[in-house]
Amino acid sequence: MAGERRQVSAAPDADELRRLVARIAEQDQNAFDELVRRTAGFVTARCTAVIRNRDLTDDAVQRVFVKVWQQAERFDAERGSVIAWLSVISRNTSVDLVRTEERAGQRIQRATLQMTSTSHVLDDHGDALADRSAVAAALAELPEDQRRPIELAFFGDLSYTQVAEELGQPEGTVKSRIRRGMARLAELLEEAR
Amino acid sequence: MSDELHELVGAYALGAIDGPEAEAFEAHLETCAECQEELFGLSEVVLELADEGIPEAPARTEAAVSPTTPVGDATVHELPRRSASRWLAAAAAVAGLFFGLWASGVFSEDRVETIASAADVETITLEGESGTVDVVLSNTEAGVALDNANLAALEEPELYVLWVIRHDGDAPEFVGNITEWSDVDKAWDLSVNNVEILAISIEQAPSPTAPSDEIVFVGERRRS
Ligand SMILES: [Zn+2]
Repeated sequence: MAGERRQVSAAPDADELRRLVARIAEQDQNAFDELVRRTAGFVTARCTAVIRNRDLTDDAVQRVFVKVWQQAERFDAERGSVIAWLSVISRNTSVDLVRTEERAGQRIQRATLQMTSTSHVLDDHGDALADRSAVAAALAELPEDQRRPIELAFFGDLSYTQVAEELGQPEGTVKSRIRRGMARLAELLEEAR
Repeated sequence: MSDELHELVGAYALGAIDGPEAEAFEAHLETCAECQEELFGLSEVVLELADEGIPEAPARTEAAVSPTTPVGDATVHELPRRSASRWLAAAAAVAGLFFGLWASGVFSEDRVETIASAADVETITLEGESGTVDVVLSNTEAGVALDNANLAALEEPELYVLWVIRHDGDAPEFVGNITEWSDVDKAWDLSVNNVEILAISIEQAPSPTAPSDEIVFVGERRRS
């Protein structure tokens, strides 16, 4: 798995990505393979952030890459950002898919939020630390004021503005703490490898 | 303003931004190499967090500083607990899927052609109320392809799904969605040696793991 992980975290060179998309616009299948290999993790993460449902995410990721193939010629291969482009396609596709899903009356199974802090679980079961996932361990190392907003946003499905309200903190503060906390989590996961 | 937009990258990575602000950030992202790099670098964190799902309730809830109280009327999408490596494997599988599809020429008409012209090709006519659909399959090419010309257009989220049953009594096995994004006939890589029955159903996207009652075409393979 190590190889795949590295692919996810090391951002590919922007010019190289542009060249790949330019080749995809010319129906170059090798270029498409290469783009998928380099960005599937990124696209999966972008879809996951919106959908948070495994089965739907797989579907979304496939749709994103189909759109990439179809829309590559509309991409500005001179100046456009492939990362931004993929990000926009991923979000729009995911939002559409969730809406379709909801229209179809097959709502994603939702559970009432039980906001339990992972790190307190860890405190309670210190022995089990080694068995916990790397991200649980990383979360436990974050300062409380960074960890809480991230947990509320992601596990609680709240926007950062709702998190700010929930915590009674200014939006700007929450926004910055989420950013710093996420950056720290990335570092910790990197170290844990 | 630009500085403020940089600050949004973490919340955007988590999907914790509402539509209009997400669009504003995306406009910034288009021109900000720093945010592109940072967002890409957060992919794994997002996948790992998703893997983590909802933290399990501690054995002694009282011991938790944050009690298990609902936060407002917030709801959470329940995530299956799975290892992050599996998320990544799934992402890689998508890559592999496309890789395989390209390699086999599924996105071009070649693959249909290859299966249809295989020495051991078999044509099975699936019958339904609205007509018939021809499916071709080949053991040696390990593939199945169909002519979707007779499939009437559906309104989203409805879609056609192809299924196979390998042995009488087995559960139907999902082969693929027959979507309309491609003009070419459809083809899938599939080991078809022991396939006995093929069926097409109408489903609501995304495709379910088992066909609904709405089987619209069905056909049986003649065993030689
Ligand atoms: Zn920026």
